[in-house]
Amino acid sequence: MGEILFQTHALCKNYNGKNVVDNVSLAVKKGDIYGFVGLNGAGKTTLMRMAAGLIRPTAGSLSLFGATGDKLDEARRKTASIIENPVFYPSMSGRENVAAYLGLLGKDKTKAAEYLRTVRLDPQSPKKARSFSLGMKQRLSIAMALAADAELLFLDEPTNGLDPEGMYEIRELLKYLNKERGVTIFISSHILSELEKLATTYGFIHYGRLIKEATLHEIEASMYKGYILEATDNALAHKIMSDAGVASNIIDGTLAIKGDINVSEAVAKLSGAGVAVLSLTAKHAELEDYFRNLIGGAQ
Amino acid sequence: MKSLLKNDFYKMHKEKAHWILLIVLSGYMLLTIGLMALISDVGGLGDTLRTYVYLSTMDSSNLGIFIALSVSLYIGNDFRNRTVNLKILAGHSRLKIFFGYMLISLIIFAVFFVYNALFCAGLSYLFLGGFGDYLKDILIRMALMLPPYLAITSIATFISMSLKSVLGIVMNIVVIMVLATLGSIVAMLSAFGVGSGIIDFITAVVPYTVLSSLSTGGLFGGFGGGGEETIFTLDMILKNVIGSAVFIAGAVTGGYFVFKSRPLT
Repeated sequence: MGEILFQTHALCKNYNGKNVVDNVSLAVKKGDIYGFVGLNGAGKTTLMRMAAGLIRPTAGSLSLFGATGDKLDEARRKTASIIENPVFYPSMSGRENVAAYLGLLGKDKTKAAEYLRTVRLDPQSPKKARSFSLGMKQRLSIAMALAADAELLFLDEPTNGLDPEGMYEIRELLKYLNKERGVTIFISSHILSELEKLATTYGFIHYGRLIKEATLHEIEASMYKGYILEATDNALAHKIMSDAGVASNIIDGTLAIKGDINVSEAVAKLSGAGVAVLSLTAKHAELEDYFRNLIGGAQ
Repeated sequence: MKSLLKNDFYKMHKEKAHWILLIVLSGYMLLTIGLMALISDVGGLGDTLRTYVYLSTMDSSNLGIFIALSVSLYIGNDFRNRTVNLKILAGHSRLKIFFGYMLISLIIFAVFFVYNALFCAGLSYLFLGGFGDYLKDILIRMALMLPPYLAITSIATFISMSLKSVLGIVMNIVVIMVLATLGSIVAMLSAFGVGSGIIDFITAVVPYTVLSSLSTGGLFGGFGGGGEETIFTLDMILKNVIGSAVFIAGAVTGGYFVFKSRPLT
């Protein structure tokens, strides 16, 4: 079991008598990209704000790099967070922003340009950060996180509002940070199609409660599989499959097969009955389906 | 703490608003002194009036507004842009951040106070002539202005941190205008001798009224000079210092608890 960098124990945050985060215990291991999944208002941002020290828990505890209580401030120096919107000094250029943050960390300001180049921002540009596009602002925030030499990154909806190209850029940058620099990432998103291209471990939160924590492997193993088959005679193919005990349905002129099958055996059986297979596509359930099933069960 | 303060200085010098405020303050002083010079023939003002004109620019309703504006702009912007979060993320404790704000506010006060005093003195000498026998009186009054100004700066910092937005600017202006106006009325009543015991006490203790009194001559027996000695009694000085200290302690303690307990943006 890898080193745990971030852990919560029975963490709660109460607003006006309502637990927005309710008894959440989770653990993020070194090297993970931990996808934190939940609907809007599920408590994702609140939990991250507690991790970042912006709000205090009502009950329970959290640890960063094993540090708790008064030691958390010091441990936070090894983390970086982008929560809700990127935070930067609007009246400064990209380079000045990174330099200012380096100064805040008590580090050498001359490295500002290097961090900006890593996220593909021009260090020489005099443009003020307030005039940056959303994608540039996100990248600037990540450059500031790099400046902190963060070993653990908290990202709340980092691709929110970005166009597909911007999403791709951020995703690739995060993959690079995780793989090449060993940065552990705790990322929340409700764009699950984006998240499933990144995360290695998932935590699912619903109405403030952590309803499931699982690795990508565990989720894949439990996710629904199926096939879409197109044959010269779909009706006959359906009958053959049913006779063989395989559940299937004809939908929109194709045969939807539920569950896993031995593909070569199935094709041979159909051919033997005079049904030619025109196409056969494996279909996996998506993270979204998994999540919907989970919250369906939780409701 | 050092890195926190260095970051604050770096940020401040990048924010044009503070420089604009200094320019506006200079313009205001030029207007005040210049107008007096125009309507009175250069050097034609009496020493007392020249002293009054000079000291009036040090009043809380004048200089105080610029200090409160600069403090609330600085702190308000840190909350509005959520750059205060960067300080937390960089591992600085809330206590350190709070005292960082207090220190920066004091530095803002010192810069505005010294700049105002020197620039205005230069203008006064240039356009109105010297202060004659009143120079010593002015210097003592300015020294006595330090405790109430420190209190006003602390209150402005407290208001800015409590509101956590640029709304603090509006609130600071309102507070200064209302209290400075009340201060002027109380100081005037005291100067004309119609004050009761409570008015005298307020005049000597509340920072805003102390400043009004010091700049209008309502406290310490009016302006001396011309052979008459202004009376700076120990009792009055102690009331001034202790009154300001109470306001400072209240603002610092209240500010810390507000900042410590409430969530950041």
